[in-house]
Amino acid sequence: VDLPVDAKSLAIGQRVSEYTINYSADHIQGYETAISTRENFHNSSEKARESGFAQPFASGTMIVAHTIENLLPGIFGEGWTKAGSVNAAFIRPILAGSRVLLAADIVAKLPRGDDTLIVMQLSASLPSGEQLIAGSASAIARG
Amino acid sequence: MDQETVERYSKLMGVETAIYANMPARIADVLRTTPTANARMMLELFEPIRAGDICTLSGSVIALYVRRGKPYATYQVETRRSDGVLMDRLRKTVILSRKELADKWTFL
Repeated sequence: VDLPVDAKSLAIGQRVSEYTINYSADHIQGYETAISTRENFHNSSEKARESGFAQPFASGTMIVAHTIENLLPGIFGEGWTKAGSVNAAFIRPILAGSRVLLAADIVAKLPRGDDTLIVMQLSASLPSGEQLIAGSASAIARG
Repeated sequence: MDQETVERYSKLMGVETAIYANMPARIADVLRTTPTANARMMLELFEPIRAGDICTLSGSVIALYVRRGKPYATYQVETRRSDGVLMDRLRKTVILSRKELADKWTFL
């Protein structure tokens, strides 16, 4: 496994990565189109109303998708792609037009054989500071 | 996993080659079979999927419970490549009644 980052270079409390997502209507629709051919309450106003919502909103899984693809692979390499984990509880819906800051902050460093498990708090927040998830992620760093 | 899906998903995520292009397919085709809403999701990554890989998804309901008056279900789904390699393990908790959320998220 190729582990590009040395655990000694990472400190508890350090923000290892952040990524801004613009949840445009097109981006939400693109995600839904990619994952399903069916209409649902994420991509259809009618389906949203049938479920009791006044308007569609983004799938919470988009945050997990952006964590996997954009937030952490550049830092941890295969320590993420072959040994990573993400755990997120979805607190509030994300509406089209939202700008969301996704971030990972180190909360623990745990020995894993010859290497180190880096445990991170995962956050997704609006510019107002309102949190959209309660989450964590982990990956392996060298040494 | 076909090349077209990988390319489309990679473009959507703004990356050259997506790591887990199978994730959305799994969510849509395996788990979105009943009208539910996401509450929690945990994903463990073991091996990235590549175009051309043939994978099998297998899953089961591992918990059904009521919390604060709301009905929940937790699924676990594993993806294995045709050579038996475990690619990932997903555990997803959903609220079985969307009305519970609609009543809560009145600002929508």
